[in-house]
Amino acid sequence: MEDSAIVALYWERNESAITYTQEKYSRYLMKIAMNILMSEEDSEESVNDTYLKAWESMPPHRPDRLSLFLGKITRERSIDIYRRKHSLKRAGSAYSVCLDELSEMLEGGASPEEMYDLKELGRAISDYLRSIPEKRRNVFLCRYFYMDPLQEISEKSGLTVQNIKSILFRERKGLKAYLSKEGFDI
Amino acid sequence: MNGSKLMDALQYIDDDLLEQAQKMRDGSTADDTVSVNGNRRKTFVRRLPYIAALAAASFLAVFTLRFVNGINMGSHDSAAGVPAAEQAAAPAEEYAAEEYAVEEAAPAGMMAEEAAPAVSMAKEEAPAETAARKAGESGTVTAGAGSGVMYDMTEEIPDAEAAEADMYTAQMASAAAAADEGAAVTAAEEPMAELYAAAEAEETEEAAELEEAPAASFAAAGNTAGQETMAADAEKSSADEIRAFAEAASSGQAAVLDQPHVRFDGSAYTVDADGKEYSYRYLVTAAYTDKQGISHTVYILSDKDEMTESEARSAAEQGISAEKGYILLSE
Repeated sequence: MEDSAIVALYWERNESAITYTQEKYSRYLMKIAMNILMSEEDSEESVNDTYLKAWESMPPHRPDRLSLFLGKITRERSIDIYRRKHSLKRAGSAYSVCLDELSEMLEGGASPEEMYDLKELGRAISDYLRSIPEKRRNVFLCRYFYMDPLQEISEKSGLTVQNIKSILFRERKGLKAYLSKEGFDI
Repeated sequence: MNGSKLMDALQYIDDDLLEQAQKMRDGSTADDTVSVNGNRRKTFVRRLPYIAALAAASFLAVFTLRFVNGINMGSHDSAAGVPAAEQAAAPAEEYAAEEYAVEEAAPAGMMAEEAAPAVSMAKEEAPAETAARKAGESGTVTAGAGSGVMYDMTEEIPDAEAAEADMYTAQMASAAAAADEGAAVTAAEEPMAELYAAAEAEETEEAAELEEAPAASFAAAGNTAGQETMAADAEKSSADEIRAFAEAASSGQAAVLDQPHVRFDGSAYTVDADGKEYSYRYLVTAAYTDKQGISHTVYILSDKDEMTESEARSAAEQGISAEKGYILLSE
Protein backbone atom coordinates (compact mmCIF):
# COMPACT_ATOMS: atom_id res chain seq x y z
CA MET A 1 0.00 0.00 0.00
CA GLU A 2 1.20 3.47 -0.84
CA ASP A 3 2.34 5.70 2.00
CA SER A 4 -0.25 8.32 1.14
CA ALA A 5 -3.01 5.73 1.49
CA ILE A 6 -1.69 4.61 4.87
CA VAL A 7 -1.52 8.21 6.05
CA ALA A 8 -5.07 8.71 4.85
CA LEU A 9 -6.15 5.77 7.01
CA TYR A 10 -4.56 7.41 10.01
CA TRP A 11 -6.46 10.58 9.26
CA GLU A 12 -9.67 8.59 8.99
CA ARG A 13 -8.84 7.13 12.41
CA ASN A 14 -8.94 3.69 10.84
CA GLU A 15 -6.99 1.26 12.98
CA SER A 16 -5.98 -0.80 9.98
CA ALA A 17 -3.47 1.99 9.38
CA ILE A 18 -1.33 0.48 12.10
CA THR A 19 -1.64 -2.98 10.57
CA TYR A 20 -0.51 -1.73 7.18
CA THR A 21 2.29 0.26 8.79
CA GLN A 22 3.41 -2.84 10.60
CA GLU A 23 3.36 -4.92 7.44
CA LYS A 24 5.38 -2.40 5.50
CA TYR A 25 7.79 -0.96 8.01
CA SER A 26 8.21 -3.30 10.97
CA ARG A 27 11.54 -4.69 9.75
CA TYR A 28 12.86 -1.24 8.94
CA LEU A 29 11.88 0.11 12.33
CA MET A 30 13.15 -2.95 14.19
CA LYS A 31 16.52 -2.47 12.52
CA ILE A 32 16.77 1.09 13.74
CA ALA A 33 15.74 0.10 17.24
CA MET A 34 18.06 -2.90 17.36
CA ASN A 35 21.02 -0.78 16.30
CA ILE A 36 20.46 1.39 19.35
CA LEU A 37 19.18 -1.04 21.93
CA MET A 38 20.75 -4.35 20.96
CA SER A 39 17.80 -6.07 22.57
CA GLU A 40 14.89 -7.63 20.76
CA GLU A 41 12.57 -7.11 23.68
CA ASP A 42 13.43 -3.45 24.08
CA SER A 43 13.32 -2.94 20.34
CA GLU A 44 9.83 -4.38 20.12
CA GLU A 45 8.79 -2.01 22.86
CA SER A 46 10.28 0.88 20.94
CA VAL A 47 8.56 -0.09 17.69
CA ASN A 48 5.20 -0.56 19.41
CA ASP A 49 5.62 2.87 20.97
CA THR A 50 6.29 4.16 17.47
CA TYR A 51 2.95 2.86 16.20
CA LEU A 52 1.21 4.48 19.14
CA LYS A 53 3.02 7.78 18.62
CA ALA A 54 2.20 7.67 14.91
CA TRP A 55 -1.46 7.12 15.76
CA GLU A 56 -1.39 10.11 18.08
CA SER A 57 0.50 12.28 15.61
CA MET A 58 -1.60 11.76 12.50
CA PRO A 59 -3.54 14.00 12.51
CA PRO A 60 -2.38 16.71 12.84
CA HIS A 61 0.74 15.62 10.94
CA ARG A 62 0.57 14.49 7.34
CA PRO A 63 4.12 13.34 6.55
CA ASP A 64 5.34 13.30 2.95
CA ARG A 65 7.77 10.53 3.71
CA LEU A 66 6.18 8.10 6.09
CA SER A 67 9.29 5.95 6.43
CA LEU A 68 11.38 8.89 7.64
CA PHE A 69 8.60 10.07 9.92
CA LEU A 70 8.33 6.68 11.55
CA GLY A 71 12.09 6.18 11.60
CA LYS A 72 12.60 9.39 13.52
CA ILE A 73 10.00 8.39 16.08
CA THR A 74 11.62 4.98 16.53
CA ARG A 75 15.06 6.49 16.85
CA GLU A 76 13.91 9.02 19.42
CA ARG A 77 11.97 6.43 21.38
CA SER A 78 14.86 3.96 21.31
CA ILE A 79 17.27 6.58 22.60
CA ASP A 80 14.82 7.34 25.41
CA ILE A 81 14.65 3.66 26.31
CA TYR A 82 18.41 3.36 26.15
CA ARG A 83 18.85 6.31 28.48
CA ARG A 84 16.28 4.98 30.89
CA LYS A 85 17.93 1.57 31.02
CA HIS A 86 21.32 3.13 31.28
CA SER A 87 20.36 5.37 34.15
CA LEU A 88 18.82 2.49 36.06
CA LYS A 89 22.09 0.68 35.86
CA ARG A 90 23.98 3.53 37.44
CA ALA A 91 24.48 2.38 40.94
CA GLY A 92 24.37 4.69 43.91
CA SER A 93 22.96 7.69 42.13
CA ALA A 94 19.51 8.30 43.47
CA TYR A 95 19.72 11.77 42.05
CA SER A 96 20.01 10.43 38.51
CA VAL A 97 17.13 8.04 38.94
CA CYS A 98 14.90 10.73 40.47
CA LEU A 99 15.83 13.15 37.77
CA ASP A 100 14.96 10.65 35.09
CA GLU A 101 11.67 9.83 36.74
CA LEU A 102 10.75 13.49 36.93
CA SER A 103 11.82 14.01 33.34
CA GLU A 104 9.53 11.22 32.24
CA MET A 105 6.69 12.89 34.06
CA LEU A 106 7.07 16.03 31.96
CA GLU A 107 5.22 15.51 28.72
CA GLY A 108 7.32 16.43 25.73
CA GLY A 109 10.58 16.38 27.64
CA ALA A 110 12.53 19.38 26.43
CA SER A 111 11.41 22.92 27.14
CA PRO A 112 10.50 25.23 24.25
CA GLU A 113 13.89 26.88 24.55
CA GLU A 114 15.64 23.53 24.47
CA MET A 115 13.56 22.43 21.52
CA TYR A 116 14.46 25.60 19.68
CA ASP A 117 18.14 25.05 20.42
CA LEU A 118 17.97 21.48 19.19
CA LYS A 119 16.21 22.50 16.00
CA GLU A 120 18.78 25.21 15.37
CA LEU A 121 21.54 22.73 15.99
CA GLY A 122 19.87 20.24 13.67
CA ARG A 123 19.61 22.92 10.99
CA ALA A 124 23.31 23.74 11.36
CA ILE A 125 24.23 20.07 11.11
CA SER A 126 22.10 19.81 7.98
CA ASP A 127 23.88 22.81 6.51
CA TYR A 128 27.25 21.29 7.23
CA LEU A 129 26.25 17.94 5.77
CA ARG A 130 25.07 19.64 2.60
CA SER A 131 28.55 21.09 2.18
CA ILE A 132 30.27 17.71 1.98
CA PRO A 133 30.11 15.10 -0.78
CA GLU A 134 27.02 12.92 -0.83
CA LYS A 135 28.79 9.67 -0.14
CA ARG A 136 30.52 11.05 2.92
CA ARG A 137 27.24 12.56 4.07
CA ASN A 138 25.46 9.24 3.69
CA VAL A 139 28.17 7.47 5.63
CA PHE A 140 27.87 10.03 8.42
CA LEU A 141 24.09 9.70 8.63
CA CYS A 142 24.11 5.91 8.42
CA ARG A 143 26.40 5.92 11.39
CA TYR A 144 25.02 8.70 13.56
CA PHE A 145 21.38 8.83 12.62
CA TYR A 146 20.63 5.19 11.83
CA MET A 147 23.54 3.97 13.97
CA ASP A 148 24.39 1.23 11.53
CA PRO A 149 27.44 -0.94 12.27
CA LEU A 150 30.60 0.00 10.40
CA GLN A 151 30.73 -3.33 8.58
CA GLU A 152 27.22 -2.80 7.29
CA ILE A 153 27.98 0.72 6.10
CA SER A 154 31.05 -0.65 4.38
CA GLU A 155 28.99 -3.22 2.50
CA LYS A 156 26.40 -0.66 1.45
CA SER A 157 28.83 2.04 0.42
CA GLY A 158 31.53 -0.08 -1.21
CA LEU A 159 34.17 1.52 0.99
CA THR A 160 36.44 -0.32 3.36
CA VAL A 161 35.74 -0.23 7.06
CA GLN A 162 38.92 1.73 7.57
CA ASN A 163 37.83 4.24 4.98
CA ILE A 164 34.53 4.57 6.81
CA LYS A 165 36.38 5.21 10.04
CA SER A 166 38.54 7.76 8.35
CA ILE A 167 35.54 9.57 6.88
CA LEU A 168 33.76 9.63 10.21
CA PHE A 169 36.86 10.90 11.96
CA ARG A 170 37.29 13.72 9.46
CA GLU A 171 33.64 14.69 9.39
CA ARG A 172 33.39 14.80 13.15
CA LYS A 173 36.28 17.21 13.17
CA GLY A 174 34.78 19.15 10.30
CA LEU A 175 31.41 19.37 12.02
CA LYS A 176 33.00 20.50 15.24
CA ALA A 177 34.86 23.28 13.45
CA TYR A 178 31.72 24.30 11.57
CA LEU A 179 29.53 24.44 14.67
CA SER A 180 32.17 26.40 16.49
CA LYS A 181 32.34 28.87 13.61
CA GLU A 182 28.56 29.18 13.67
CA GLY A 183 28.68 30.19 17.31
CA PHE A 184 27.51 27.00 18.99
CA ASP A 185 28.98 26.26 22.35
CA ILE A 186 31.15 23.24 21.65
CA MET B 1 27.45 20.58 24.42
CA ASN B 2 27.79 16.85 24.59
CA GLY B 3 27.27 13.92 22.31
CA SER B 4 23.84 13.34 23.75
CA LYS B 5 22.67 16.74 22.61
CA LEU B 6 24.08 16.15 19.15
CA MET B 7 22.23 12.86 18.99
CA ASP B 8 19.01 14.67 19.88
CA ALA B 9 19.71 17.39 17.33
CA LEU B 10 20.11 14.80 14.62
CA GLN B 11 16.38 14.19 15.00
CA TYR B 12 15.93 17.48 13.19
CA ILE B 13 18.13 16.68 10.21
CA ASP B 14 16.46 17.59 6.94
CA ASP B 15 14.43 14.75 5.49
CA ASP B 16 15.97 14.90 2.04
CA LEU B 17 19.40 14.19 3.51
CA LEU B 18 18.04 11.25 5.43
CA GLU B 19 16.32 9.98 2.34
CA GLN B 20 19.61 9.92 0.44
CA ALA B 21 21.24 7.99 3.24
CA GLN B 22 18.30 5.64 3.39
CA LYS B 23 18.68 4.94 -0.33
CA MET B 24 22.25 3.90 0.25
CA ARG B 25 21.11 1.67 3.10
CA ASP B 26 18.51 0.11 0.86
CA GLY B 27 21.11 -0.50 -1.80
CA SER B 28 19.27 1.72 -4.26
CA THR B 29 22.52 3.17 -5.50
CA ALA B 30 23.76 -0.20 -6.66
CA ASP B 31 26.03 1.34 -9.25
CA ASP B 32 27.93 3.08 -6.53
CA THR B 33 28.31 0.07 -4.37
CA VAL B 34 30.31 -2.24 -6.54
CA SER B 35 33.70 -2.99 -5.14
CA VAL B 36 36.21 -0.21 -5.16
CA ASN B 37 38.71 -2.33 -7.01
CA GLY B 38 36.08 -3.14 -9.57
CA ASN B 39 35.44 0.51 -10.14
CA ARG B 40 39.10 1.22 -10.48
CA ARG B 41 39.51 -1.61 -12.93
CA LYS B 42 36.70 -0.33 -15.10
CA THR B 43 38.01 3.20 -14.81
CA PHE B 44 41.44 2.09 -15.86
CA VAL B 45 40.22 0.24 -18.92
CA ARG B 46 38.02 3.15 -19.92
CA ARG B 47 40.93 5.52 -19.59
CA LEU B 48 43.41 3.30 -21.32
CA PRO B 49 43.74 5.51 -24.42
CA TYR B 50 44.40 8.54 -22.28
CA ILE B 51 46.83 6.60 -20.16
CA ALA B 52 48.78 5.56 -23.24
CA ALA B 53 48.83 9.16 -24.43
CA LEU B 54 50.03 10.38 -21.06
CA ALA B 55 52.74 7.75 -20.95
CA ALA B 56 53.88 8.76 -24.43
CA ALA B 57 53.98 12.40 -23.43
CA SER B 58 56.03 11.54 -20.35
CA PHE B 59 58.58 9.61 -22.33
CA LEU B 60 58.71 12.31 -24.97
CA ALA B 61 59.57 14.81 -22.29
CA VAL B 62 62.24 12.56 -20.84
CA PHE B 63 63.83 11.97 -24.23
CA THR B 64 63.77 15.60 -25.14
CA LEU B 65 65.41 16.65 -21.93
CA ARG B 66 67.99 13.94 -22.28
CA PHE B 67 69.48 15.12 -25.52
CA VAL B 68 68.47 18.76 -25.54
CA ASN B 69 69.67 19.72 -22.13
CA GLY B 70 72.14 16.96 -21.52
CA ILE B 71 70.83 16.53 -18.03
CA ASN B 72 72.26 13.59 -16.18
CA MET B 73 69.04 11.80 -15.44
CA GLY B 74 70.02 8.97 -13.15
CA SER B 75 72.40 6.43 -11.83
CA HIS B 76 71.66 4.02 -14.64
CA ASP B 77 73.13 6.28 -17.29
CA SER B 78 75.98 7.37 -15.10
CA ALA B 79 77.03 3.88 -14.25
CA ALA B 80 76.99 2.81 -17.82
CA GLY B 81 78.93 5.83 -18.86
CA VAL B 82 76.72 6.36 -21.85
CA PRO B 83 76.41 10.00 -22.83
CA ALA B 84 72.82 11.04 -22.70
CA ALA B 85 72.84 12.59 -26.16
CA GLU B 86 74.34 9.45 -27.68
CA GLN B 87 71.77 7.25 -26.09
CA ALA B 88 68.97 9.51 -27.10
CA ALA B 89 70.14 9.39 -30.68
CA ALA B 90 69.77 5.64 -30.82
CA PRO B 91 66.75 4.29 -32.67
CA ALA B 92 63.67 4.19 -30.58
CA GLU B 93 63.15 0.50 -31.26
CA GLU B 94 66.57 -0.34 -29.92
CA TYR B 95 66.05 1.77 -26.85
CA ALA B 96 62.68 0.28 -26.23
CA ALA B 97 64.00 -3.25 -26.60
CA GLU B 98 66.88 -2.60 -24.28
CA GLU B 99 65.13 -0.65 -21.61
CA TYR B 100 61.62 -1.92 -21.62
CA ALA B 101 61.77 -5.39 -23.08
CA VAL B 102 59.16 -4.72 -25.70
CA GLU B 103 59.54 -8.16 -27.18
CA GLU B 104 58.34 -9.69 -23.93
CA ALA B 105 55.36 -7.46 -23.63
CA ALA B 106 51.97 -9.07 -23.37
CA PRO B 107 49.17 -8.21 -25.80
CA ALA B 108 47.47 -4.94 -25.05
CA GLY B 109 44.23 -6.57 -24.03
CA MET B 110 45.98 -8.72 -21.52
CA MET B 111 47.85 -5.73 -20.27
CA ALA B 112 44.67 -3.91 -19.47
CA GLU B 113 43.38 -6.80 -17.47
CA GLU B 114 46.56 -7.47 -15.59
CA ALA B 115 47.64 -3.94 -15.07
CA ALA B 116 44.39 -2.82 -13.57
CA PRO B 117 45.03 -4.14 -10.09
CA ALA B 118 48.35 -2.39 -10.08
CA VAL B 119 46.57 0.89 -10.47
CA SER B 120 44.90 0.47 -7.17
CA MET B 121 46.60 2.99 -4.99
CA ALA B 122 46.18 4.16 -1.51
CA LYS B 123 43.93 7.14 -1.44
CA GLU B 124 42.63 8.93 1.50
CA GLU B 125 41.53 12.37 2.26
CA ALA B 126 43.73 12.97 5.19
CA PRO B 127 46.26 10.46 4.51
CA ALA B 128 49.34 12.19 5.59
CA GLU B 129 49.43 9.59 8.27
CA THR B 130 50.22 7.03 5.64
CA ALA B 131 53.70 8.28 5.26
CA ALA B 132 54.27 8.03 8.95
CA ARG B 133 52.94 4.53 8.97
CA LYS B 134 55.01 3.46 6.04
CA ALA B 135 58.10 5.03 7.43
CA GLY B 136 57.56 3.54 10.83
CA GLU B 137 56.81 0.06 9.69
CA SER B 138 58.82 -0.75 6.68
CA GLY B 139 61.38 1.95 6.51
CA THR B 140 60.73 2.31 2.83
CA VAL B 141 60.74 6.06 3.03
CA THR B 142 64.43 6.72 3.03
CA ALA B 143 66.22 9.80 1.96
CA GLY B 144 67.80 9.48 -1.42
CA ALA B 145 66.22 6.14 -1.99
CA GLY B 146 65.99 6.61 -5.68
CA SER B 147 67.08 8.76 -8.50
CA GLY B 148 66.08 9.56 -11.97
CA VAL B 149 62.46 10.26 -11.28
CA MET B 150 62.55 13.95 -10.56
CA TYR B 151 62.85 16.17 -13.55
CA ASP B 152 62.65 19.86 -14.05
CA MET B 153 59.74 20.31 -16.43
CA THR B 154 59.82 24.05 -16.32
CA GLU B 155 62.41 24.42 -19.03
CA GLU B 156 60.98 25.03 -22.42
CA ILE B 157 61.65 22.49 -25.13
CA PRO B 158 62.89 24.07 -28.37
CA ASP B 159 60.48 23.48 -31.21
CA ALA B 160 63.01 21.83 -33.50
CA GLU B 161 64.03 19.26 -30.95
CA ALA B 162 60.49 18.73 -29.88
CA ALA B 163 59.51 18.01 -33.47
CA GLU B 164 62.38 15.60 -33.82
CA ALA B 165 61.42 13.90 -30.65
CA ASP B 166 57.86 13.58 -31.91
CA MET B 167 59.12 10.81 -34.14
CA TYR B 168 59.59 8.71 -31.10
CA THR B 169 56.19 9.33 -29.68
CA ALA B 170 54.19 6.64 -31.39
CA GLN B 171 56.83 3.99 -30.91
CA MET B 172 57.39 4.97 -27.35
CA ALA B 173 53.70 4.74 -26.62
CA SER B 174 53.82 1.01 -27.09
CA ALA B 175 57.07 0.81 -25.20
CA ALA B 176 55.52 2.78 -22.38
CA ALA B 177 52.50 0.53 -22.33
CA ALA B 178 54.76 -2.48 -22.14
CA ALA B 179 56.71 -0.86 -19.37
CA ASP B 180 53.50 -0.05 -17.56
CA GLU B 181 52.69 -3.70 -17.40
CA GLY B 182 55.82 -4.51 -15.54
CA ALA B 183 56.34 -1.30 -13.68
CA ALA B 184 54.20 -1.24 -10.69
CA VAL B 185 52.24 1.38 -8.92
CA THR B 186 51.20 -1.12 -6.36
CA ALA B 187 48.40 -1.11 -3.91
CA ALA B 188 49.05 0.10 -0.43
CA GLU B 189 45.60 -0.46 0.98
CA GLU B 190 46.70 -2.64 3.84
CA PRO B 191 48.98 -0.16 5.54
CA MET B 192 46.34 2.46 4.97
CA ALA B 193 43.82 0.29 6.65
CA GLU B 194 45.99 -0.24 9.66
CA LEU B 195 46.86 3.39 9.70
CA TYR B 196 43.31 4.55 9.95
CA ALA B 197 42.56 2.08 12.63
CA ALA B 198 45.32 3.77 14.56
CA ALA B 199 44.07 7.20 13.62
CA GLU B 200 40.67 6.34 14.95
CA ALA B 201 42.14 5.10 18.17
CA GLU B 202 43.96 8.35 18.58
CA GLU B 203 40.80 10.31 18.68
CA THR B 204 40.96 10.55 22.40
CA GLU B 205 41.83 13.16 24.89
CA GLU B 206 45.45 12.50 24.09
CA ALA B 207 44.79 13.55 20.53
CA ALA B 208 43.06 16.64 21.80
CA GLU B 209 46.13 17.51 23.81
CA LEU B 210 48.30 17.08 20.78
CA GLU B 211 46.11 19.41 18.83
CA GLU B 212 46.80 22.12 21.29
CA ALA B 213 50.54 21.77 20.90
CA PRO B 214 52.37 24.41 18.87
CA ALA B 215 52.39 23.85 15.16
CA ALA B 216 55.28 21.70 14.13
CA SER B 217 57.95 23.17 11.97
CA PHE B 218 60.51 21.21 10.05
CA ALA B 219 63.77 22.45 8.71
CA ALA B 220 64.63 21.88 5.12
CA ALA B 221 67.10 19.12 4.54
CA GLY B 222 69.88 19.19 2.02
CA ASN B 223 70.57 16.53 -0.53
CA THR B 224 71.63 13.23 0.83
CA ALA B 225 75.16 12.16 -0.02
CA GLY B 226 75.25 10.10 -3.16
CA GLN B 227 71.96 11.40 -4.38
CA GLU B 228 72.17 12.77 -7.82
CA THR B 229 71.63 16.42 -8.32
CA MET B 230 68.68 17.30 -10.44
CA ALA B 231 66.94 20.49 -11.24
CA ALA B 232 63.93 19.65 -9.18
CA ASP B 233 65.90 18.86 -6.05
CA ALA B 234 65.34 22.30 -4.69
CA GLU B 235 61.62 21.73 -4.74
CA LYS B 236 61.44 18.44 -3.00
CA SER B 237 61.58 17.62 0.62
CA SER B 238 63.44 14.83 2.29
CA ALA B 239 61.87 11.67 3.56
CA ASP B 240 62.42 12.81 7.11
CA GLU B 241 60.45 15.95 6.44
CA ILE B 242 57.65 13.97 4.91
CA ARG B 243 57.63 11.61 7.83
CA ALA B 244 57.55 14.44 10.33
CA PHE B 245 54.90 16.19 8.33
CA ALA B 246 52.81 13.07 8.17
CA GLU B 247 53.16 12.40 11.85
CA ALA B 248 52.16 15.94 12.68
CA ALA B 249 49.26 15.87 10.27
CA SER B 250 48.04 12.55 11.60
CA SER B 251 47.84 13.98 15.07
CA GLY B 252 45.74 16.82 13.80
CA GLN B 253 48.33 19.53 14.13
CA ALA B 254 48.84 22.23 11.60
CA ALA B 255 52.17 21.36 10.08
CA VAL B 256 54.59 23.51 8.21
CA LEU B 257 57.23 22.22 5.89
CA ASP B 258 59.91 24.70 5.05
CA GLN B 259 60.56 23.15 1.72
CA PRO B 260 58.16 23.09 0.07
CA HIS B 261 55.91 25.14 2.28
CA VAL B 262 53.02 22.95 3.17
CA ARG B 263 50.31 23.71 5.64
CA PHE B 264 47.60 21.36 6.73
CA ASP B 265 44.59 23.02 8.32
CA GLY B 266 42.61 19.87 8.98
CA SER B 267 40.80 19.81 5.68
CA ALA B 268 43.25 20.85 2.98
CA TYR B 269 46.92 21.03 2.22
CA THR B 270 48.22 24.41 1.12
CA VAL B 271 51.52 24.59 -0.69
CA ASP B 272 53.62 27.60 -1.58
CA ALA B 273 55.44 26.88 -4.79
CA ASP B 274 56.56 28.86 -7.77
CA GLY B 275 55.63 32.03 -5.94
CA LYS B 276 52.01 30.94 -5.85
CA GLU B 277 49.79 29.24 -3.36
CA TYR B 278 48.05 26.01 -4.22
CA SER B 279 45.52 24.09 -2.22
CA TYR B 280 44.89 20.38 -2.43
CA ARG B 281 42.45 18.14 -0.72
CA TYR B 282 44.02 14.72 -0.95
CA LEU B 283 47.37 13.14 -0.35
CA VAL B 284 47.76 10.12 -2.60
CA THR B 285 50.37 7.60 -1.61
CA ALA B 286 51.73 5.13 -4.10
CA ALA B 287 54.52 2.65 -4.41
CA TYR B 288 56.26 3.35 -7.67
CA THR B 289 58.95 1.46 -9.55
CA ASP B 290 60.87 3.55 -12.02
CA LYS B 291 62.39 2.50 -15.30
CA GLN B 292 65.58 1.40 -13.62
CA GLY B 293 63.61 -0.91 -11.39
CA ILE B 294 64.17 1.23 -8.33
CA SER B 295 61.27 1.40 -5.91
CA HIS B 296 60.05 4.68 -4.56
CA THR B 297 57.26 5.81 -2.37
CA VAL B 298 55.62 8.90 -3.77
CA TYR B 299 53.40 11.32 -1.94
CA ILE B 300 51.32 13.40 -4.24
CA LEU B 301 49.04 16.20 -3.20
CA SER B 302 46.10 16.28 -5.50
CA ASP B 303 42.49 17.29 -5.82
CA LYS B 304 41.72 13.79 -7.03
CA ASP B 305 41.03 11.14 -4.47
CA GLU B 306 42.59 8.55 -6.71
CA MET B 307 44.98 8.66 -9.61
CA THR B 308 45.54 6.41 -12.54
CA GLU B 309 48.84 4.67 -12.90
CA SER B 310 49.89 7.06 -15.60
CA GLU B 311 48.91 10.09 -13.58
CA ALA B 312 50.91 8.85 -10.64
CA ARG B 313 53.79 7.96 -12.91
CA SER B 314 53.64 11.34 -14.57
CA ALA B 315 53.61 13.03 -11.20
CA ALA B 316 56.50 10.90 -10.04
CA GLU B 317 58.53 11.67 -13.12
CA GLN B 318 57.75 15.33 -13.35
CA GLY B 319 58.02 16.27 -9.72
CA ILE B 320 56.44 19.58 -8.95
CA SER B 321 53.74 20.37 -11.42
CA ALA B 322 51.33 22.47 -9.48
CA GLU B 323 49.64 23.82 -12.58
CA LYS B 324 48.59 20.31 -13.51
CA GLY B 325 46.64 19.76 -10.35
CA TYR B 326 49.07 17.85 -8.27
CA ILE B 327 52.33 18.29 -6.52
CA LEU B 328 54.93 15.73 -5.60
CA LEU B 329 56.17 15.81 -2.07
CA SER B 330 58.93 13.30 -2.17
CA GLU B 331 60.54 10.56 -4.18
